[in-house]
Amino acid sequence: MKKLRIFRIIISTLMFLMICAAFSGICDEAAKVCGVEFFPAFAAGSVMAIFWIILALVRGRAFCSFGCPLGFMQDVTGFLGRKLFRKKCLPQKPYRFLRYSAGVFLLVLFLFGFSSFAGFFEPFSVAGRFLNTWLRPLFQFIGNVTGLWDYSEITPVVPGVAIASAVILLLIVIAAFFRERLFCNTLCPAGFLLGVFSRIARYRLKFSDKCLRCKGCEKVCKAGCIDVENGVIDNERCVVCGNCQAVCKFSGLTVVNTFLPQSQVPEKLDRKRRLFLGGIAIAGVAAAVGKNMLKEPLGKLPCAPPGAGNVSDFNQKCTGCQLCIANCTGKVLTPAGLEYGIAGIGQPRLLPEKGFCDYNCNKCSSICPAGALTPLSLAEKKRWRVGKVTYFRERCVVVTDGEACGACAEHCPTGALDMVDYKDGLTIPKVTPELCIGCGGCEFICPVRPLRAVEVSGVAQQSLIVDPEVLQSGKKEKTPPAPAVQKSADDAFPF
Amino acid sequence: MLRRDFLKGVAFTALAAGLLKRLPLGAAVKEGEACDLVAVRGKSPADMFDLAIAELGGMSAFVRKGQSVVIKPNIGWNALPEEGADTNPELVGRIVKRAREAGASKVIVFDHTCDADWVACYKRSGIRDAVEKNGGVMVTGNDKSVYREVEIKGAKVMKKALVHPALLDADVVINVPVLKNHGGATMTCAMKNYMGVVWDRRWMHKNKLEQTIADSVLIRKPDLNVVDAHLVMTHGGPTGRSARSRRVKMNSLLASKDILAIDMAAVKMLGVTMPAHRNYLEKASELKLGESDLKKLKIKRIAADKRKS
Repeated sequence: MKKLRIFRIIISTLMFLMICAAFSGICDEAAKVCGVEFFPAFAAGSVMAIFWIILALVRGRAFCSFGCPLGFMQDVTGFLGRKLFRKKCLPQKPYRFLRYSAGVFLLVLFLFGFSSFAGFFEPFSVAGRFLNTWLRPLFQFIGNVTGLWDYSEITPVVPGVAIASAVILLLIVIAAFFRERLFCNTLCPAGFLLGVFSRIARYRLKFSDKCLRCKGCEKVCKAGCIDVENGVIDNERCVVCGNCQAVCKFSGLTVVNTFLPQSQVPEKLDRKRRLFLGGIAIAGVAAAVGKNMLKEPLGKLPCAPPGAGNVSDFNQKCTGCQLCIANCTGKVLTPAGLEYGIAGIGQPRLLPEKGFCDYNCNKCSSICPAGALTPLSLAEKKRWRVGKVTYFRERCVVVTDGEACGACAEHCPTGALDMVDYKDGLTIPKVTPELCIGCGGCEFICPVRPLRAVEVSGVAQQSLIVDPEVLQSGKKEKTPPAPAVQKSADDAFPF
Repeated sequence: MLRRDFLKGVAFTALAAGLLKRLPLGAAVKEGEACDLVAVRGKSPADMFDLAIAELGGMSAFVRKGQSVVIKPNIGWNALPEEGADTNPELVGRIVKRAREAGASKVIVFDHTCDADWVACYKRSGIRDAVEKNGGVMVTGNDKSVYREVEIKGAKVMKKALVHPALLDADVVINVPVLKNHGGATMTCAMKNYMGVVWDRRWMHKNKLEQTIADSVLIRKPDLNVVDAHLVMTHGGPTGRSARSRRVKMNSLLASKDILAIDMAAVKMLGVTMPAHRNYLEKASELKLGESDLKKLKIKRIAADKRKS
């Protein structure tokens, strides 16, 4: 079992690199691997969540050491702090009251549909928000300077989101420099949830007869959950990193099969328990009351990514990890500010000023680790409506300047915007609303400023548009002639 | 007169009449004579290029040893070759190959793509593979920071613009559009394809599009234009994504030094008339960018599928 530590270091490093690749937007496969992350899997109700929970019930919260990107980052700074400055891990208080309060509070928020708030503390989303806003531009910059990989325009990030993501992540990793896995046993909802299960884990660490009480293990315990003095190891806080067993030369720690929850350090919990339960009740009531109020979108509804289905359901599920934003081919997805309402902060939305949804791409829906986006096949996605176009005739350059343009129709993939005769040989856009999928190509390319002549706004319920072929045949418009394939070489050049 | 001679005479007259009927505009060019425009039909795009360039004096007439060459195809859209939205990849590959054989020091290929993901456009169109296989390099056209501002002498509206540096620095520029119907501009071919060397196309759309298209040619006239009319989108262009779009297999290719002449011929191939408000051909004629009267041109027509060999 001494090899557990090495195994953990290898696996967690690979996982972290994979997640970095996923957020650099260079590897679709890596992006799909993000589905193993506990909290998104929990939100999606996927089998990976059950896997980690069963693992917790068997041995402990191994996810925290093996799969968690934020855990990895903390391990790095924690290791530096230990080597450079503290020389050992300091024992930590159980912080049970704080952990349970924070954990339950965030879970209540999550269950009441404030997933994006939970995402401010959920480790994968915390790491994702940071990697997307900082690592990806850095990665692009390095590529552009060295020419080692394809040039890509560095897409600016919404400043508020960038600052928030940096502050939260930096606080966590700086705390780790002093107290290692402090965050994991105080504020982390994933850690809390898995901890509850590992509290009754079947196999867990115990001191054996061979233990010399040298406290060597205590000094390397990142979770600070080993209390040699009292002979207690708090399995609820243990992140199964394997450090203790690796450092012990006498096999003083062994994994034993037990049903019994170990004796805890006695705590006076009566008053705290009442406080705790009261807190949950208040959070629940507040969430239920605030649910609709905070979800009122400000202004027009933004377009949600394809696959969101019912946008209000999407807002409840999405933790705002930003994996879809990092992988957006059309560079149109961006973290929302208050457009979805306060509860939708950090969730992805289409911003046609920046780009437009690529007609030949369905990446976002296929990689969403939290199941907030339902996978769409490319054929479905091409007919999947996320928004609707509005054409403002009085702003259009054809009307105001009497000049030909047609840029919007040029970018329209479905023929929802088409150029029809206007006057003096000019053509003007005409909208067929049934055909619009809301990709935003028209709004992106429209040259009119400050207000564009075409705008796309989101729809509350996404759905398939009618089949354009069916619509065409039903209308009996002057259909262009069937392809006349020039077969005979006797046909002359027409000049 | 012998009966045989008489019959011969009748046959020749009939043949000549037929030829004249078939070639209503422009003078026919005899074998070996220099010509202004070559029209080829009936082979693969790449092979038709070889036939066409031979008529124009071979690649060495355009590319000299050590010169740098830029090829500007249409790679506007993230589309497959069979969609006809981008220039045929084998054609671009062949031009790269011939330029290298003629001794070009480097061959750069780029487009400022319309779809946001230029890498996807380069890859999915098949052009990236074709170019790199034949010894060319592809650079991005979607990085604003590399574009250089230049004054455009003689332009009527677009008097200065941000232009892709590859074009400005090249010794030889080869424009390789695909012939398509265009929702906004009626036809997109050689001149419309040239919009892709300018950064701010929104500005062009906003400021007399037909004039700015003509103005853009003044940045740097292409030395050679090759029109891919292999698979022509006759309706629902330029993306061909809508249900209205139609494609016709014309199996043709045009080549000329004259960007206006080649567009005049392309209009005829597409079978459209340019509406007054979108007639950048007329604006180009006013700017004297080339010859707009096909009758004045020496045109070489090759029906390659009729030839033996």
